[in-house]
Amino acid sequence: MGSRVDSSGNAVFTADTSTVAKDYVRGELDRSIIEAFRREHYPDQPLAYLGLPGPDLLDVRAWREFIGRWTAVQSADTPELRQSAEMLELNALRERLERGFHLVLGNIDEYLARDDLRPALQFPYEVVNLDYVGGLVNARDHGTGSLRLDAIRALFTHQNRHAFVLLLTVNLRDRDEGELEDHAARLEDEMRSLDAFRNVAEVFESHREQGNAGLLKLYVPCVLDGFALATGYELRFAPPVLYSGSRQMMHFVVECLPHTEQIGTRLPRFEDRLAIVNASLLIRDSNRTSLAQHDFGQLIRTGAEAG
Amino acid sequence: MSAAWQSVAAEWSIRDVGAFLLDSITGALYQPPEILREYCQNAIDSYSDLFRETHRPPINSVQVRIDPLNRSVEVFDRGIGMDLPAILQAKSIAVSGKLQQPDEYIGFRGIGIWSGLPACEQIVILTTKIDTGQLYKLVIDCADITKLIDSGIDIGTLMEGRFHIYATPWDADDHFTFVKLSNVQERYVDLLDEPAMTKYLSRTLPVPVDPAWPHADGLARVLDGVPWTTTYDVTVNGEPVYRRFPAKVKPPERVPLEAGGREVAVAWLAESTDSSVVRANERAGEVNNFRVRVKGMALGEPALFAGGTDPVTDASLLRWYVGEIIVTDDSVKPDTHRRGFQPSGAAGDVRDAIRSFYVRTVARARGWSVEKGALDLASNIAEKCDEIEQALGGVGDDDRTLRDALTQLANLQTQLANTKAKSNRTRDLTGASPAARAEAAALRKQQVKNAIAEAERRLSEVEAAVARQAPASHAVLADPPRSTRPTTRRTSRMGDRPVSTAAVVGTLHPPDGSAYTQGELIPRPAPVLVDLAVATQAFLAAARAVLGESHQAYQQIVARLPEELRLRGIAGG
Repeated sequence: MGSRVDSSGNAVFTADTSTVAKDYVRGELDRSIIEAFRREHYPDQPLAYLGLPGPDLLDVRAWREFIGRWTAVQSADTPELRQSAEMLELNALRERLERGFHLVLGNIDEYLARDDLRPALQFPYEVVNLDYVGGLVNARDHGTGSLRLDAIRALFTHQNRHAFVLLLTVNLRDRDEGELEDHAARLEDEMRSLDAFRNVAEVFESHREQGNAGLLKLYVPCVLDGFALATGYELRFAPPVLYSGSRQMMHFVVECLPHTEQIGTRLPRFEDRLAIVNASLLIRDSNRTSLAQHDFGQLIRTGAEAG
Repeated sequence: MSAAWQSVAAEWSIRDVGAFLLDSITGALYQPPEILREYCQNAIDSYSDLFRETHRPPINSVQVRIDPLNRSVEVFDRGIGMDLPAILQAKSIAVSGKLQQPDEYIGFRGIGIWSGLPACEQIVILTTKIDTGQLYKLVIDCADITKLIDSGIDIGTLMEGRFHIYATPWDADDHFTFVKLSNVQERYVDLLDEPAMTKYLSRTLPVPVDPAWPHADGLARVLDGVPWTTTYDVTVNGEPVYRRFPAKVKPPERVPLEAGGREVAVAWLAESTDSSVVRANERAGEVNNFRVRVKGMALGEPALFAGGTDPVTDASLLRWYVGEIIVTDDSVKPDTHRRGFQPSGAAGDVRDAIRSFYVRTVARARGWSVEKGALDLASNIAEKCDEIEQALGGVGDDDRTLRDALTQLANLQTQLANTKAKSNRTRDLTGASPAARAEAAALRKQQVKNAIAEAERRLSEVEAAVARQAPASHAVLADPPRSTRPTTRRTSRMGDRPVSTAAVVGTLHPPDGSAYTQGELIPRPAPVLVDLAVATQAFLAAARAVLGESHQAYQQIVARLPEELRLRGIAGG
């Protein structure tokens, strides 16, 4: 598995076509996680889905046996997007998926973040698939922060400690204003300040060498963990996946489970941070039969033998 | 001087037709549910075309999606679909291939895609016909059109720029039609009421019978081979739509309906299990009574043609049944609103055949009611006799319980005597109504005769036992009351309320505590006997007071009363 860093600082991997790669992620990895999640948490009921299925409804079709009601959010700002919405409705009928189907026209981030729009959604959901085309941090035009992050924070709040699986796919390219770098630096400082590891600099440098893939691998779990902490959730991450579609995409799946103790009593845990840093990245290989695992190196405790 | 006429060229075009006519054809034509029905009907017809053109087995499914949040309604079928010529024809108004073959289609007036014009802001149709490799999109800007419809412009000008067709390459094997009514207007908001639309479609479309109905398989056998009984799997928001009937009915029967010696319709009926109105769970969409279906689609209201200027007598008894009348005469067409038949000679014949079926069915209910009444009476007498025999064993002659039981038995005895007398009187039925004949036939059934005979035998036994063991009480049986006639069972409807003739006559009684509740007289211990002429006059006065002298029902009572009294042996013929 070869990789390089392009002129924008992003890792580029040799990968297969978008459809095959995405189909694999959706139909194999995600599907098995959703199936196991349902078996563990909602064995006797179909799951409610909220997401951005697009006109072809690929995710809903791939997971249809687990899904009961489903809310599709589709932008309709332009004639092209309105046609997409039309095709989405057509395909819901063609695929006989109209039972429990609920179409919301607009920007999902707005619907999640804005109080006046939120009633259009039917909380709670058990599967939330935020399959974004763009990046995650994308600063607002006026520089007040990321609407997308506000939306995800609001999602945790409105799920109201109801267990769910969050699938988050973001573009590797991101019009962030240095947030990803800053976050990695802060996390590195935090780890170094513990004076517990002897290879902090090497491990974080290894992440930076992979450009946004490495930085997002650190950033997304930490941000989600912060939202979870504030809303009474514990998170169970699957290894993130980097795959190449029409764009390079990072895919995260996390089971969001209500914290068993009283809300607000959960504290950030050192072990969580350590696990995030030490986690591998899965890369969908071009041979189309397997995933490659990319290790960024493990933090080694002071006094321990190098592995 | 002779005039030499020369032809002057004058073309007739769409520019010569005022736009307001469009509103006349489409705007005021349909109520919200009927609009949905029209699109479903087009979908159903498209399966006929698919089979005719390709001989592929049709899927016969129609999917409806109602989206109140987005104020839209969608109808999707996998029928033949449309190619460009078909699209161009679909946009025409009242010009349809179906008009040339009206016997083969459910819809035939060519209003088709236009029925939703007044109901929404935009109609979008996406369709592809098998083997064409093109998906067509037809967009009608209804809001603009309806806004300008009364502006005095011609239809051609009205449609310019408000009707669009697009095409894009598509899978040649695919075939479907998707119709979407967007932004449904407030006036047509009922279209967005999913439960109401589902109920309407379940009662109107040729959908399957609920497979959970205990007689579903039996009905399928009964209707085997009957034309126009193909069903279509219709769903609303993914939930199947079924014809639903109450479970407490007997197995369905098939009844051919004939006119002029040929079969014009086939009815099926399932009778109530307990000689009363079949209770239908309205919320569950269940129905009782009869629906008339033409080419699979139900017309009008239940018991169609039972009312009108010459109503079928006691048509309310049709609610003792569930059933349908399937018109098999293909020349009979529904009217535009599908609330009746389009007038024709054949339609009149079928209508008469249906009314005749109603009359026979009502009579059957009357007869059954009488039969059941007689059997119940015999059963009650047997029970009361058992009770008295047990009481005689251990009580004194003045026991209050025994005397009460004997009084009740005396009443039953009187009813039995009346029933028997009625049975004997109804031998001459010349000129009697079908209902009277049905009642007589019921009383002449061997089972009924046996029951009456057995009741008389038991009465004799008990009377003898009472005479021996409680002679002081025997007088109760020896002189039974005479006024508690079984006419309390003979009920009719005035307006929407059941009214018993006995109850009306009961108003003659002095206010001594007698009462009647829900049309049934509560027997009094000391009835007052009145002259028949007085009772008749009082009854008519009461009926006149309730109905008014000019009411049709009152006129019928006046006309029928002498015959009814004669048939019951109350007055001489």
